[in-house]
Amino acid sequence: MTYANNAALLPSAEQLESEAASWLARIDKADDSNEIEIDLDDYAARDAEFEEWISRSPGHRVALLRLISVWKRTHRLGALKSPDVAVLKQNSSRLPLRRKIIGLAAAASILIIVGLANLNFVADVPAGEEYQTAKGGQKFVDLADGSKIELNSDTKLVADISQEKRIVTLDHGEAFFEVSHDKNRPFKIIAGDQAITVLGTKFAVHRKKNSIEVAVSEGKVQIDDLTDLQENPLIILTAGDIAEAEKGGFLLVRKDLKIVLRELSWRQKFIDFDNAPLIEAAAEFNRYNHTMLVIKDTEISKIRVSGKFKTDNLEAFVRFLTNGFGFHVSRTGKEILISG
Amino acid sequence: MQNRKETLDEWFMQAVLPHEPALLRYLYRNWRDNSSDVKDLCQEVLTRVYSAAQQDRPIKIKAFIFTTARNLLCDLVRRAQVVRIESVMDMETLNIPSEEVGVEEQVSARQELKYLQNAMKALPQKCRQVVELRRIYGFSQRETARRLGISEAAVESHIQRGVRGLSDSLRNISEIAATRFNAKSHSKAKKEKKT
Repeated sequence: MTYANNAALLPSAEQLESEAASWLARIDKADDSNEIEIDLDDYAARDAEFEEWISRSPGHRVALLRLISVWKRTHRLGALKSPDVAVLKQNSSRLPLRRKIIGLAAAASILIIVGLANLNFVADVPAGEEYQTAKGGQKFVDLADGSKIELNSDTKLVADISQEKRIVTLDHGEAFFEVSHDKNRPFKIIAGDQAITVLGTKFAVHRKKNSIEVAVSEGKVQIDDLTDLQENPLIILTAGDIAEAEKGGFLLVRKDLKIVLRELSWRQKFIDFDNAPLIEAAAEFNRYNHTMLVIKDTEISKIRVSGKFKTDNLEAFVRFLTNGFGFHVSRTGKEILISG
Repeated sequence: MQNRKETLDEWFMQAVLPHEPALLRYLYRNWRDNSSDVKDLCQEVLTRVYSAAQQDRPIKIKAFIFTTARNLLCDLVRRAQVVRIESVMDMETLNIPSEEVGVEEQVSARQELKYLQNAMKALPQKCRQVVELRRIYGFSQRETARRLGISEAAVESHIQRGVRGLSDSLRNISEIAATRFNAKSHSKAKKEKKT
């Protein structure tokens, strides 16, 4: 170092920072909050080893303060969570309904393994039995291994069940799985680039464009990123968690069990809205009906609606909008246009 | 909280550290030696500023930082027995650029987020997940370990690596709105709240 002989015999900035980082991790460990209002002197009073380190030179303290300020700044990343998600975390009882994939673990502590990977190399043309529903349709399937699948509207999947393996390929749509427990034959669900492996539980999958969503009401769900060569799980979800996972990352939301269950109301041919933006509610109806509901004004698309409707009873919802909100309705062939 | 006297550490983090990128730029421009030394120089300048502030906190913070940096560079050159000409080329003109001191370099919240995002992306995947769970979702280290199915020791070491990685990425790019802080502290030294 150019000036080391002149300045106090300090370790290099590199060395200091490395030591400071290990102290930051240690201090952070003792901190269960997310505030990081770290009072170093306070902490030093409780940790003699730390006090020895921090009092070696002002440079030691400065190196640590630098890292603490970096650590504090990461808090701003919280803004990346969507507003809905932030609300969900704070108050799960007044949430807009968002369509999710729901995994309902039947037995209390059964572990579901969800794997995400780029599975382009896996079966281009899936073998097995094909099942399909049209818009508005719903279908119950009993598989040879004792597992059950419930297909929601506009869904197509192929089930390949044999002595060695259990693979379901979800082409599109949403399905609820009740998987019989079989340690030796993991139940794998392939949804595009992503795969879900289930050891035995109840589980629903909604294939979205680039992601899958997993929600847990009981037990644990483990998500793996199969592209991670170290084979560490991506994350383990517990009851009340919903995760939206895509290749290389996840977004975690905590929810009320009631809401997880409400989102499964499609199984009883209901759509259940709780304070959902009108635009989302319309999209939800459009999953089940050939007649498309179109919200013309961006103004009214944000209006929140609540209520429980039969999936095929679009007219009831339209009446609700006209009588309840005084919106205007016009019809053109296969569309119902709603305007303010 | 509002009325509590701001500690030296808090002051240092909020009023001094945001100037680090500008300080680094200054050092890189004026010190043509092996660039790895610049980190050491920066650390030394910050430490001198901190030590000086233990006596008396400077009012014109940014100017004080640059003066400290210039003095350090001058010391080094004087003390060195052999000085490569190019390492001190600007000795005579080490004047602090006024545009650097006066510049209103405000980083918008969006820009700051972008910096952080990029810094996060540069972390190894597992490390990033740990930082996300700890900092974005607010899980404790213990809970983070449980959720990722790894040991608490592993989480601690990921955090250690993570904060260093973030620090390296952020070191050069962003300058948080220190000017905002200065404006505020002139009106009435209030602790800047996280927004």
